[in-house]
Amino acid sequence: MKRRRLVNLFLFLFPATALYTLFVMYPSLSGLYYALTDWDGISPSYRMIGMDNFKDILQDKLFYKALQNSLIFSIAVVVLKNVLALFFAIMLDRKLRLTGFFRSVFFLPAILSSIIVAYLWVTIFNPVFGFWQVFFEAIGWDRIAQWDLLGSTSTALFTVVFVSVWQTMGYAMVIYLAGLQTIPAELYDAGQMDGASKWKQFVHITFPLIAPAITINMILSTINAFKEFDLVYILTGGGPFDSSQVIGTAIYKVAFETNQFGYGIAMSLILFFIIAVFALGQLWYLKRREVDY
Amino acid sequence: MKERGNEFMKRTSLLLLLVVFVLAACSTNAPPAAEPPSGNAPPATEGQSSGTPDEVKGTVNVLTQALEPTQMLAKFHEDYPGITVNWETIGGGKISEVIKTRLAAGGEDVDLITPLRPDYIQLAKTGQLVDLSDVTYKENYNPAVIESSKIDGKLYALSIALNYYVTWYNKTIFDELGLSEPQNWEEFLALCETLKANGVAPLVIGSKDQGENNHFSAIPYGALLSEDPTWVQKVGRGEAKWTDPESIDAMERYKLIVDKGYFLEGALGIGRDQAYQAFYQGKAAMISQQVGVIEFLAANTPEFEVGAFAPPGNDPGQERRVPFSAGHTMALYNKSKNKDASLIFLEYISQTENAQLMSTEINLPSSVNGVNYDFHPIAQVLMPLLDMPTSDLMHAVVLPQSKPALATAFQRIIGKDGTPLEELAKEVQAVTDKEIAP
Repeated sequence: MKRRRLVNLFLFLFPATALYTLFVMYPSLSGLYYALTDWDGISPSYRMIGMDNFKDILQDKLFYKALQNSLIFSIAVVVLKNVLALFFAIMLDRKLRLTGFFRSVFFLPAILSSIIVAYLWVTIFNPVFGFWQVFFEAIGWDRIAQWDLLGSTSTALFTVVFVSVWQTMGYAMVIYLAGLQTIPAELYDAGQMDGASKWKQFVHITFPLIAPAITINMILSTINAFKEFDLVYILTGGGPFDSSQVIGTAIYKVAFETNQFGYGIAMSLILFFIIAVFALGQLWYLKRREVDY
Repeated sequence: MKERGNEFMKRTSLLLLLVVFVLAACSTNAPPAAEPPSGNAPPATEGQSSGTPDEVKGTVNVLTQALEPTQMLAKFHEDYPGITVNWETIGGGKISEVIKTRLAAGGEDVDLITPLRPDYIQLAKTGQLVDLSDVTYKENYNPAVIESSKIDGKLYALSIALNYYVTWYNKTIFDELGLSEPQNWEEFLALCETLKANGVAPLVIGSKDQGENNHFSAIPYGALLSEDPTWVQKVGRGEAKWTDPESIDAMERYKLIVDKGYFLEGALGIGRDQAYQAFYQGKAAMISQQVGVIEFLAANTPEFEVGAFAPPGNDPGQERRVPFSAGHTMALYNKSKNKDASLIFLEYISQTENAQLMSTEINLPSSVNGVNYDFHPIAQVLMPLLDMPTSDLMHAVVLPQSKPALATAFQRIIGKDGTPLEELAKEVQAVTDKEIAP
């Protein structure tokens, strides 16, 4: 009887497992295989070179630069996005006249394609005839008008951070809003009766009870930030001179522009490992502090 | 019972894992494992179609960055009703990525392709392209195009467009200031100085796109390439180095243009298209780009008169050369299932009448002899340049891994990051050394 149940279980699981195997496991394991080769992406032949790609990566200046930038980018985006998203979620968690309008406005960039967002900001920041330049020249702030935000090594990466936060903050805000709306109003009433200030209510009621939303937002933000490609590629191309190169664009550069596919795949496996470590570490830590009153 | 159930699950899992590994190792879409390059062993019908054109039927899939010549294709279909041409234009400079991906996925429905030069060389050397050395209609092409398309003495592609690198200029500004086209480096510097003194930015470059930095080097490297037109290829063979004194001198010239402020401000923050927009809006007097920019010029004709001259990087007394490479090199994939039909199409577009129709339609200067550039009045300014001596087009012949390294070095010069030029040259050379190491 139990065996029959297991057979049924297997039959039910088989379609999803087969599809997952075909479209996820197989490409992933293929990648693992090609990371051990010197395949250039064009030739019909290649050599097995063992761990050489991984050894080379450990001595590759571009990889370290990209890793450093990815870390800076991820930390900046995760912190800024979540702080702003939580702030706006709290501000918009009220029944005011224009609340719905502002929720839509803040969420709007999240439904736009990254490509569109990137081209929009490329046009705005264009140092020759962009809106930024035209606007600040018009109000007489010539020095600011001359800032080449995407073309300067000191500002390129942070400009991409800004655009990324602008685009994705609304999505995180909606998750926080959903979390805030699950908190029973009685808890705040009880807090008020006990004389708790707004800040204390936030620290002792709101913050602990939206912990699941924080967990989801932090993990999603971290994974997406480490995987970032589109915005960096279009806004700066990883430049000027690799100053905004992140791992995603570095992988593209070595695989597609310099025809080192095996090497690029090896880099992407390292990226996968880094993301897994950060995401699982966060999950472990944040899950521990989730509470339920 | 529970143990048997567990055993069943274990066996199923192991079987699944085994299937995954077998699939991963036996991929049909990926290249066969550790197979030696097949060389250039041609099939019996290499380069020539079998059967008469009337008998041949099939579909020719063209994967290219060139626009679709609808009228020419309609004419072809009238002449060869049995052959259908699927013309797929890949925009945004992504032709290389798309071709690689299609071939890696098994090359199904891939017939005619226009790979970029590094990919073309690699595809030819690994026996993935049909040898076209014996086709008779190659005589219809500009001899320089045929020569530059040969790999190890064999021809694997016919270039459908000439790829010259020229300096486009605002003739109206030049006329207003009484300036004439510079003939050498010294005249070029004097010209830039005059423009700057008159409040006009002499040049605009879209440095954000790495290829633009390499392309522009045609001017500062002009003297070196005048002496040795194939110097860049020699670097790729290890016979010359980026650290050679002549190369450092050329980098000094690049730096001089930057230091004197001849580039429009904000070069690092704009790409190729935006640089063209700046030129179009009259914000800079000159833009050095490939002739392919004629597509922009034809689609968005500036209000001012446009001229073009060969990059004036040569020293006085040296011969001025036009940097050149075969553009849109159309090659036939060796595993194509439509070789005969593809060869008929290749022969068709090699005829002057049809090449003229295509050139007029897609706004590209054809490399077929006898074609007039009548697609736009501005294209006429290119005609006198066709008879000039040529040199390597830097970005087209630099090795793939060295290309971004070189572009980054030039970007750092434009960004004035202060790194000594010798250091920059050493960094590029280190990449090249690694790339050409046996």
